[in-house]
Amino acid sequence: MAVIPQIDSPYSLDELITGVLEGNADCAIAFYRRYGKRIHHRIRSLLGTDNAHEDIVQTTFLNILDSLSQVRQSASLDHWVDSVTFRTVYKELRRRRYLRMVIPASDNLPDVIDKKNSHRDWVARQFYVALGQMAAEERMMLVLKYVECCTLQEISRISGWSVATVKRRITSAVNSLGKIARADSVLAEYIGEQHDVG
Amino acid sequence: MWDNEFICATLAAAARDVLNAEDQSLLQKRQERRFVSLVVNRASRPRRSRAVRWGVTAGGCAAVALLAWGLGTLLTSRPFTFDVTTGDGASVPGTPGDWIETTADQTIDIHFDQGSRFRMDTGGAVRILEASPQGVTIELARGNLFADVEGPPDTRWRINAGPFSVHVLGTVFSVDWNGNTSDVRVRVVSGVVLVQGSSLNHHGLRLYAGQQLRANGRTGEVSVETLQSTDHGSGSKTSTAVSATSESTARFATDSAGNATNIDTERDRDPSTISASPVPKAVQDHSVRAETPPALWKRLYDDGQFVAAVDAARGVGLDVLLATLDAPGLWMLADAARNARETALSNRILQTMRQRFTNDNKSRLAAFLIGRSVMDVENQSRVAARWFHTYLEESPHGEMAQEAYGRLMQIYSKNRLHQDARTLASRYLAHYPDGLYATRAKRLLTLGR
Repeated sequence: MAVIPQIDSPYSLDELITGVLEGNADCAIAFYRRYGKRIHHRIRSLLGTDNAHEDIVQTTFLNILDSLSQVRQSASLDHWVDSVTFRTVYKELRRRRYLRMVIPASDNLPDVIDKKNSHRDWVARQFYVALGQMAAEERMMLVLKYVECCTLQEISRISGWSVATVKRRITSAVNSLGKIARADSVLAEYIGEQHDVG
Repeated sequence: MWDNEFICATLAAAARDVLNAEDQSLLQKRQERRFVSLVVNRASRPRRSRAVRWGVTAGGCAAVALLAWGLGTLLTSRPFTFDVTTGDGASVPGTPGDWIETTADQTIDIHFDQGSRFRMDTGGAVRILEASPQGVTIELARGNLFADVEGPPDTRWRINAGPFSVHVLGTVFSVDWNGNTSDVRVRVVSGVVLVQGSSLNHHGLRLYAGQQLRANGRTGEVSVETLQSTDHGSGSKTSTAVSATSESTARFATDSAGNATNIDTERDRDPSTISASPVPKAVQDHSVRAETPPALWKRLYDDGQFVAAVDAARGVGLDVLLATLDAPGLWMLADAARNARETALSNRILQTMRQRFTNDNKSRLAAFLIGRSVMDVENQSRVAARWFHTYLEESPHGEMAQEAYGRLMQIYSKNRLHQDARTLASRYLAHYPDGLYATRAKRLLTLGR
């Protein structure tokens, strides 16, 4: 999801920033409709289904509002929002690791009732369990590259890390996930099936 | 065998499909309302970081206890100090433990060095029990106390008022309390607030940004509603939340004036003197134990507030609900508990459902869900295996039959019960020769040769 969806808005980016800072409700609505879905999706991708999802989305918006006045060029607003989202989730993952909380992020995936996708839901759940075993940096790089399909340059801009660092972390993440997935019977089974089909 | 790139791409694609299939529209609508409310209110209040204004009175018989919930690290710096300033401007350093009393015609301000301020209204009595970066505890014996709390969210601010306590931490909200009618209104602009006391059971009720609670300490009525965002459609900088706070301030002043008539006005004290004398008890426990309206937990569930829904259900009485809810109601309650990460409770509800509604389709599915949670959350594979077998006996071609087979094969393989695994694999292939787990089943049979 590398492209901001073009939502018709009567406000330019400059007007959006100014309006939100001034407390204009219409601008706030326009701002949310421009970025809300994107932020939700990005956080969901990075964390999987998580009990704290709403709180983290809320925190992201708070962080955006706290520092919106520092945005120098409105043209970079889209990337800036991505960066704030990334940093908010990164901080959360680091904090959880620090507090030694084990949060089975996939525990709250919806009940597997859909006959078509039940197995894939299970696989997705296990995927996020596997991500939970990785370092925050590796996990986020892997999600941005493979789930969100971002380019290296986009990831570098979002994270604030150099392209070289991003590349190195992605390589490390890929190796980590490969090792974890091979040892997980659910994931290994699924990969085998997909390999055979392919 | 497979290269790591293939593994990542394959698993990521599965995750992406699942994420894209989710319907987040309800959640996003809720968040939109909160965001707009946040934007409007931030612009309209003075520029302070995490400033909170509210008033508390201990004169009523059904006050509420509020807990603003957050996470943070412990601070290790020096204790807070505070000054006590009377209406005529005289200021003295405050001492933790000493009572601060006001007369019928003077108020007293308490200023903490870290920026927080309190005002004890006329005819009141309060003392600071503890003041450190870890926490500030204030005891309110009587009267009306206004608070403007600032500073890092790691400091726990608590005010004890009779049998109740009010906790504040980094949340923007307003509390409106009318001691004469025992009506309380709590509005949350941002963050989360836990409301406890009176007609709510000790677990309390969580309110999220954009929600409003109305409760009455005498009748036990409680309602939670979501604030509409249309009030600020005109783009005006004022908002209902700010107006409500102003109203609350005025109302507290009125309550305070009303309560002052109960104060011993014959007392003759120098208002600039800080007293260390004992102060009468603040309030009697007039809390009314009443049940939370049964519909509340369902409303909270529909709104996605699962933890609050479970709390509200407890307020009604879980035993009562388990005995009286119909099958859809039990299913909903189990789902709420599961989403609130109360796996044991969820399983208990599902088992009750199975006992009471044996022939219900969802009761049979409940067997699978219990098995899955026992396997995934509690890691009890043998217990899980019994549940999966139960499910397959009751629903041999049920919607989760394939997954039940898949999980059983996994359990048997992992526990080296190869013969059982092969028997199961044969059964599975007989029913689902091209099924989701056909490859696994065939591999198990191959291993046995």
